[in-house]
This record gives sequence, structure tokens and C-alpha cells, in this order.
Amino acid sequence: MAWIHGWLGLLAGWILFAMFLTGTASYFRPEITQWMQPEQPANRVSAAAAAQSAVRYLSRVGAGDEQWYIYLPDDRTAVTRVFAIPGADAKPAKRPRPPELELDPRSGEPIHARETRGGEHFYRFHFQLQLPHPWGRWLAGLCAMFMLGAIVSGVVTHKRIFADFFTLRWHKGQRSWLDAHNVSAVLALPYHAMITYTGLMTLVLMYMPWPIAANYRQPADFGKEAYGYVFDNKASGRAAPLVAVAPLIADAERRLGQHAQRVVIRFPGDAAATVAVASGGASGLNARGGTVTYSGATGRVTAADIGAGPALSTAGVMLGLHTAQFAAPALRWLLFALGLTGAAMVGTGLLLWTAARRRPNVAPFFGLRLVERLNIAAIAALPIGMASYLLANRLIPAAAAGRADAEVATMFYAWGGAALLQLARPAKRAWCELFALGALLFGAIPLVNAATTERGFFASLRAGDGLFVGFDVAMLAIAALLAAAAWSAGRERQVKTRRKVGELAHV
Amino acid sequence: MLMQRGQMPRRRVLIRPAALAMLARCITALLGGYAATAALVSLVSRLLPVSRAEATAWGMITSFLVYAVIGLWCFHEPKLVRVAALIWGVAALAGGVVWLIGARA
Amino acid sequence: MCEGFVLCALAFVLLAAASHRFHRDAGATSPAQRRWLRGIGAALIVVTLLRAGTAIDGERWVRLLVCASLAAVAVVLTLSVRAAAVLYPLRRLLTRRVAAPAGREVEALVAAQG
Repeated sequence: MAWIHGWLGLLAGWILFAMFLTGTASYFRPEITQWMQPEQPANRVSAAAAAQSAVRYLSRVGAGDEQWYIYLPDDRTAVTRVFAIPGADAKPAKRPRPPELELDPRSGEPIHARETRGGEHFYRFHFQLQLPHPWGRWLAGLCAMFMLGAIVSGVVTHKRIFADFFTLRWHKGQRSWLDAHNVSAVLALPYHAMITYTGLMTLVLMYMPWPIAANYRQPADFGKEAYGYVFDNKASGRAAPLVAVAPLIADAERRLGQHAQRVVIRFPGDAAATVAVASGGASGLNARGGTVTYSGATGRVTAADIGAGPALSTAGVMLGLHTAQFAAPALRWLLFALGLTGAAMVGTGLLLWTAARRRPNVAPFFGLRLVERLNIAAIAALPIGMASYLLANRLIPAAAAGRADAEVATMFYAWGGAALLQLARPAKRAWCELFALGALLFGAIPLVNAATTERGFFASLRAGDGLFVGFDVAMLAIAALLAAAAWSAGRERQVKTRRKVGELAHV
Repeated sequence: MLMQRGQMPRRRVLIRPAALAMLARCITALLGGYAATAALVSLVSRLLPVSRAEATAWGMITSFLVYAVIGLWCFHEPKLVRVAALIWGVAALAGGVVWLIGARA
Repeated sequence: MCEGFVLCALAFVLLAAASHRFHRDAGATSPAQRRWLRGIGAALIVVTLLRAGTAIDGERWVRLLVCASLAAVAVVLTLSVRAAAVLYPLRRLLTRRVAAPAGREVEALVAAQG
């Protein structure tokens, strides 16, 4: 079991580290997006009013649309996001409409903030790995399965799991890395197991759809029965104005007992239009809180899917635990810390692998050199990429065309560049220098923010803007962490232990 | 395995037998394990006496744990023949049964 | 959340004091003392669970596990660098009772000698 644990961890470790780091950042996805659009103020409008203003705008520009998928703003998300599917017989516009619109919650007009992916980039990267659909999701799923196997085999392997609970020895080379790996893995084991399993569950319809095929002649019936998804109603062809949406949302929130999160309007302006209001995530552990469907022409309720059986509730709770939208700020920060602990678990595991195979006076074999360099590229170079993404947001002019793609490109060029340039340095120096560069870049973020926007640290402090103040503090804390890592990596260390032969073979 | 004068020249192998066996074990664990999991979990959810949507959901929820355990067992069991026979056998058998029974009415 | 973190940290210090690795540093020499320490530590964790509830069903379990994990990491990190300092209050408490009978014996001898 120790053998398979090592192989599973090694093969998936580099990708898992990236998934953990970007996924942990995603706990603050809306906050990062708000920070990256400093021109857009925080939202102060109710969900119902935001939906009404969005529908008002969409009725003007997308009268013949087939579907409007509207994500409503709340106290963390400052904009209304809309995905519109044009109607089949729509006239091709002179300029094609963007697939996703960001509307101001109060006025319903497109926002005037800089174009950016925001926190969405980290979020999508952590399960799509920047690869074309569906390969990225399959690879992420494979790595997550390897992680699950590593967790199970790790627990089975670790026979003295309770006896070793408080063991953490410093300055003992391989043994210290093993202790660090145990501390970060075992003490936060409930979290790691939960996040891995629930992460797989978020894409279960892609990874394991076979039970649906075994139970349903028409797979689409599962969505209908389980979640009330109706996607096969057709336009009747008779025009009928869409009723006011705000009262429908208020009514839905009353019935569901939760805040509305999404509104899906099909065939607006048609007699067969439907308005489906969905909740969940923010007000309960179950991310699928229920859907109320109304007729778009008359406003009457046509379907109310509020309760779910134990299995579907379990699946919904698993989804909710993974995205943690229910979490209040304090709990969210603690989950963020646990996510970093998960990254530490993966990182210490990778470093343990190389520490266990280094011999004092023997040149490292090729595999060891390869793993060492990949470790540096995954662990020390990724923070450089992430900091560059945030810096690019402030340094690329707000009105530049294609700036969202340029920000993303900056992250990968910086990450890739650091990962390649480290080959020119000896491994030990590369660790220290890359961590130091990461610390520098993260420390620069508050300075660049103050220099390029009006929402610098002191201005935000005076304005009582908790988000911008907290963001700067977090950047400085991350910089301090990386600086400590650089200092620790740069020290000349005397390993005060004589390794027993058995220990060399263990990991 | 020293060669002595006068013996037959050693056969040249492209891949060592041990490496081939490990490759077979990995493929059985990864692909065969997935097939066995999908088949087993589909069969159980097809036969579970609860509502369709609930049974399907239970099947999907438990699938990852089943896959992990099956995959790890493939490396725990020393005899490759036993591993391959059981995994591919379960996949074929359960898959066949689920296919023959057909979806719920 | 702070309260939960502090309670769990206290619980883990007590559990560490009862553990094989640290019971000598903590002065918990007898098995009875170690059982007591484990019991009180477990009780503190139960108290944390009971006090961690919010309006959301089931969130208390999430809060307990989150606080307990982070508190455990913090306690193990601290013990690994300053075990003696962290366990000092416990050691004073547990070894004072052991020293007392010996002190009384000495006093009795001195009194007997006149």
C-alpha cells in the first residue's frame, strides 16, 4: 500500500498542487472578481430588482432569444451575469453578441468596468486545467481519483496513525518531511477526504452517468425528475408579453425559504414562456435548494420542486460542501487555510519523495533530477504565475482590447517562464530564488493597486471598504509566507540524523 | 542468469516480462476498474427498490469509493491472473446483466 | 469560530499531554492521569460541537471539523518547537500533588528527630 500511495501521489502530485492552490483561491472567487473590476461598486440592490432590470435590458437587445440564463447578484457578487441563447431564426447581428453579459444590478445596462475573467479564471482552471473540453475535466477527474486512492492507501499504510498524531521533528531531513506530510495530511484528513470526494461529485454526470442509462430510457428524464429541469418545451409562436419578473422572484423566495440565485427564462415574449427561479448554496448546505417554475405569460406557478429524497439531498449537500457558498466570512477564511494545508500536504509529499532518494555523495539519478525540477516548477513557480495574473490586471490599460485574454496569458507566460528559467540554476538556489520572486510579486500587488486605482489601502480604510483592505492584507500575508519559504530554502542545513537502511526503502 | 559457453543464445525481449505484467495490472486497475465500477453501480441502482431518481443518485454517489477500493485492491492482490479475471469478469458479467435487464419501464 | 478554535486547541493540548510522546513533559505519569486528560480533552471537543450550531442545519459539524483540524495543526506546530513551555502549567499542576506526600514525609522525619 505504501508503494501505490507513493506512485499515486507522485504521478498526480504536480497537477493536484495546482488544483489545490487555484481551488483554494476560488473560495474567494467573487471577491477576486470584484477586486479585478475596481470601477464597479459593490452591489446594493435586491435580487428581484436586479433581475427586473436585467430583463428590461434583454427585452430591448434580445427580443427573439430562446433562453436567458441569469445569475443574480448578492452581497459578494457585484454584477448580474447573463448567458443568452439567441433564437433559431434570429437575424445575424452586425456585431455578434458576446456569449456572456455583465450587467449593472441597478440599471440593467452593461457595466463599464475593465474586461476581465476575474476569479472565474482560477475557478475554471482548477477543474479544466486550461485544456479544451472535455480533456481538461477528464484529466482533473483522473488526478482527483488518484488523490482519493492516495487518501485511502495513505490511511491504510499509516499503521501508527494515532501514535504519530503529535509527531513533528525538525532538522531531520527525510524524517522531517515525512512528519510534515503526516501533520498536514492526517490532522486535516476530514477536510481533504471531503474536498476530494465532493470535487468528484461536482462532475459526476460526466464521470459516471451509467446509472442514469440503467434507469432511464431517455437520459433527459433524470434531470426532469430529479431537479425539475424542463428543456423540451417549444415556442408556441404566439406572442405574449413577459410578466414582471420581480414579483415572481419575491414569491419564489418566500416558497423556497431561501435567497434566489438563478433565473432561467425560456422563450421570453412567447405564450409558452417559462420563468424558473432557483435557489440554494448561500442559505443552506444543500447547493440545490429547489426551483419554482412560472408561466412567463401569466405568472402562474407551473412546477415547484422543493423537497428532494435522501440521495438527491446528499448529492446536493456534497455540492454545497465543495463550493462552501453557505460559509460566513470567518468560516470561509478557515476553509481557505485548510485548502492551503491541502496544498502543503501535496507539496510535502512531493518533497518527501525526493528527500528519501537523495544519497549524500552520489549523483542523483535521472528520475530524481526530473522530479526535483518538476517540483520546483509546480510548487515554486505557480505562485509567480498567480501573482502575475493579478498584477497584469492593474498594469494592462483598462480600455485595452482583449485584455481579459492578455491577463490569462500573462499568468501562463510567467509560470512557464519561471519554470524554464529555473533550469539554469542549481536546484537548491532555484527553490530559494523562485520563492523570493513570488514574495516580491505578491508584495508588489498592494503597491501597484494603490498606484493605479483610487482604491488603495489607505483610501479603502477611510472608506470602510473591507474587501479591498482585506485583499491587500492577504497579499502581504502570502508574500510573508513565500519569503519565509525562501529563507528556509536558502539556509545551509546540517541533517542531524543517521538514516537506517530500512527507512531509505520505506518511501 | 549467466550464459555459459555452448548454450542457446538468450532471447531478446523488447519489454521485460515484469514490466509487461505491471502494465497489464495498471490497465486492469484503471480501465477495468472503471468498467467494473460502472457496471456494478449501474446494476445495483437498477435493482434498488427505491424511486428511479433516488436509486440513480445513490449509484452515482457511491461510485467513486467503489472505484478507489477496486483500484487499490488490484495492486494489493499479488496474483495478476486473479486480479484480471475478477475485474474484467465482474465488468462483463454485471454489465451484461444490466444490459439484458434493460432500463426501468 | 474563535471560541471553537480555542476550545479545540485546549483539548488537543490535553490529548497531547496524555500521549506517549509528551506525557513525561506534562508530568502525567500514571495511567489514571492520562485517562483523565483524554476524557477532559474529548469532553471539550463535544462542548465545541454543541456550541458550534448556526441557523443552517448541519453546519455545526462543518464548523467543528474545521476548527478541530486547524487547532490540531497549530498545537502540533507549537508543541514541536516549545513543548516544555506549552505543557508547563499542566506539569506544575500534576507534579505538585506527587511532591506533596514526599514533603510531608520529610516534615514527619524532621519532627521525629526533634
